[in-house]
Amino acid sequence: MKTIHLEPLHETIVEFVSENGLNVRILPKKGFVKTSVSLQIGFGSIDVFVRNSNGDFKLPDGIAHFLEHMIFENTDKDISKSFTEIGASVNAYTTYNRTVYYFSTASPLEKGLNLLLETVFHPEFDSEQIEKERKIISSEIQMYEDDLEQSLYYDTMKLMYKHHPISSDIAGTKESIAQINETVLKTAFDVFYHPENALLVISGDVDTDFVKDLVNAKMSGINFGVHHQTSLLIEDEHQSIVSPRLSVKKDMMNSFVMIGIRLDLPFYTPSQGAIEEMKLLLLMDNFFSKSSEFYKTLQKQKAINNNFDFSVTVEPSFAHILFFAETKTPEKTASAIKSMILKIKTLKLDVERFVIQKRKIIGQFVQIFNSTSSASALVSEYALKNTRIDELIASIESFDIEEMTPLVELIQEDKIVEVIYHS
Amino acid sequence: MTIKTISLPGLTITCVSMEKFKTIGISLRIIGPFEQRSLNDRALLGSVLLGASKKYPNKQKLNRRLDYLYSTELQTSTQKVGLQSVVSFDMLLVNPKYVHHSEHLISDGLELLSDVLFRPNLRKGLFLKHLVKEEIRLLKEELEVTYHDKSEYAFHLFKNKMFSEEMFRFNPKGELESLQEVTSETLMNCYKEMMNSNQKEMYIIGDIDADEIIDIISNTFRFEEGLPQSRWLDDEIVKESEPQTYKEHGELSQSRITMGYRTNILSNHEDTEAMILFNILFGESDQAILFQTIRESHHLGYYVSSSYFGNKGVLFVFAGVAKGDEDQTILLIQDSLKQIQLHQLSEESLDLAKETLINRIKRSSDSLSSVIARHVMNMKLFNTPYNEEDKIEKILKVTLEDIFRVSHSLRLDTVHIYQNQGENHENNPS
Repeated sequence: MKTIHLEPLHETIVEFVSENGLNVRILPKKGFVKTSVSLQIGFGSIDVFVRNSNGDFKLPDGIAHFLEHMIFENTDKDISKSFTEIGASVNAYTTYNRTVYYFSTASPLEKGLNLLLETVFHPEFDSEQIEKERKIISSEIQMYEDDLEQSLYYDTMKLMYKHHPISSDIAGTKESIAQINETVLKTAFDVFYHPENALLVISGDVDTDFVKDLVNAKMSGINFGVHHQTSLLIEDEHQSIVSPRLSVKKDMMNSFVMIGIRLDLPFYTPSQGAIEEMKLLLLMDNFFSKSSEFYKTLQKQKAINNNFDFSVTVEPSFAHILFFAETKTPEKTASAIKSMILKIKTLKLDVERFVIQKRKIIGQFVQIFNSTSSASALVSEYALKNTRIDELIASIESFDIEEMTPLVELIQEDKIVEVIYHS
Repeated sequence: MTIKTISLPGLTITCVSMEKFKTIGISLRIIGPFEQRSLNDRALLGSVLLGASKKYPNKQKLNRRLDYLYSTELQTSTQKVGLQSVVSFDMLLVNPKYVHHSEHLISDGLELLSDVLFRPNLRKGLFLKHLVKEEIRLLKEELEVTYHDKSEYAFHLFKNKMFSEEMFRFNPKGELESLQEVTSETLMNCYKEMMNSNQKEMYIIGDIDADEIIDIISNTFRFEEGLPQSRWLDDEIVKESEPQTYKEHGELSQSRITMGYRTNILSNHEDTEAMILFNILFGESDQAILFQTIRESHHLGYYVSSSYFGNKGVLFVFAGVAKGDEDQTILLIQDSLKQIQLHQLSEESLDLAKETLINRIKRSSDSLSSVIARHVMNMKLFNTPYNEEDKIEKILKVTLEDIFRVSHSLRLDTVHIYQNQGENHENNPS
């Protein structure tokens, strides 16, 4: 067992690997009533290119999400009800890079933990259940069609990436999920649902030794094969953007604008990516935050309202920056954001702001550790990036403003896309 | 957990000390009657105050200061609680124990709040005209967004039908139609009224020294004595009528169904716990009868759920289904209610609902805002501090008979369907 101390937050994270190779993190939170437990599988919607003993092949889009639905559908018992009976509430979600099963409880942890590990690692793929889930997921996909922000995001991804699966909807399409059957589910399960590709995080007022014994006892009772199968990175990605612009008329009161900057980063290791992502976020925040001159000017010109945001994503196989704005003047707003993006190469960073930004990020970390569920989500997310939170905080504190400047060179004019949903 | 309440002239301060939290929550509430005439002014005033004070003449300066104070959050909102309008300023500060260089974090935060509240940047005694215009624009665009979320918009349309004669139809965040009537003058009148004759309360929660904080507040916040406010339940009387059905159209793929029931069981009623449990059994979770019937047995739609608003005595059912499936779904929802009314419910499912509710109650003590919220409501409705054991005991006492009884209190009032204009989807015969 390894104990990591987070200062000045006064938090500790205990790490160990259980019997059968499951990675475990415990966050003791004294005085909290709720214990949050999450089991994260390194299987997201982009992990569709895989390699096993049969060679390399592609899984249908939406497979990770479909599998997540199937895990909770058991012919013998209602999983959700089983958790309710022991005073816990359970749920799951799939993102582009992970599937997460989680529950929280104010009752003792043992039964829930056992049930979670049993359920996730012992699925059943009954053909009748598969048909039923297909219908439910189709309906879910249809519901997302009404979600304008989500479809704006995917339209932007489709302009930036020609082949990369990040441009496909997490749930897949009606056509892609039609290809999913028992064999496909079983193959995907065998490739990804192995303890070495999973992480268990427990956050709450728990005794670490007790939890360790519990996990070991449960895990040693489950049989796993040798894990020698992997998800493949998508190295043959089309190098340029697909198209710089898309404009669609929608039934809306205000228009939406999304600007995407595709970044050509070298194939980073996940932990390098986490640091680069943080630096890029600081850089963007320096010029585009709600305290910036840019924001003030655009609001004054009535070109944006309070619904303005940006995000940075750096992953081993792709990286981009996104801007979102709601506006009455989409053309003007889009061109203002784009010209500011190009202009930052010639601007100096605001030094005073840079100092404030670091305090802001440290403050945000403290806030996250105020809740067992947000703390465990943070730890899971960075575990996937192979990054320790204490090292990340130390890096942020030691960032020098000079390190930020070269990052602007990553922005290339011919890698910028814009999507407008006109009202 | 220890609670200390002290009444200063014009301000009641409640400090809740809980060691486990790493942040400190501060909430200032200005309470007046919920009225149509002042609704937009009260919705806007908070953001106008944040928009320009003498010390922070624009939002950029204020945000910069908040970020400097370790990402302190400061939000203002206006809510309707019962028939009261509550304008809140909510601040979330990092506890100085957990960051470097932070000696005065709490007093700095409180000082910032008092700068915003007491020392606005005025011209000729009025709020700056350009700022008022700007905030009206921002609020207008924020309200318009409701239209983008089809489910939210469906509920908005529904409310206008079911509550056409009641205060409940108004959005405390502002009403689009009359927003342009707000001026620097109306806002100033509203500000004076709030500062001079509204009731003020302040809540501070976290790992705090109550005496120290009360000391800072009593030196920084000085209010006029306000009028006491007490209408914490929305008990507006409505005349009984036959259930009405409405259909409205828009551009959307899934049809949204909203059904509204009325009940005489409000949050202060002795059956309120039974009603909350009924709602869990009826439609709140995926073990609930509605979900099991509509989605699991009949494979209709992606979501169906119910919510009970004890503050008003109403229960809503929400469903999203493919076009063409609306009528069948509405019948199934009514059948599901009948099922409970005809005593088709097991002791086991009630035990499960109790377990869910008790767990939720226990867990709420891990959230700063929930701890405050439950304490405040209990004080307002019963004039006693919130007691978790009592609450749990009441829940455990609820019997199946109680559930059947409260299910009979529900009277269907309005059915609303928001759907696409066009033909039914080909694969959904109706």
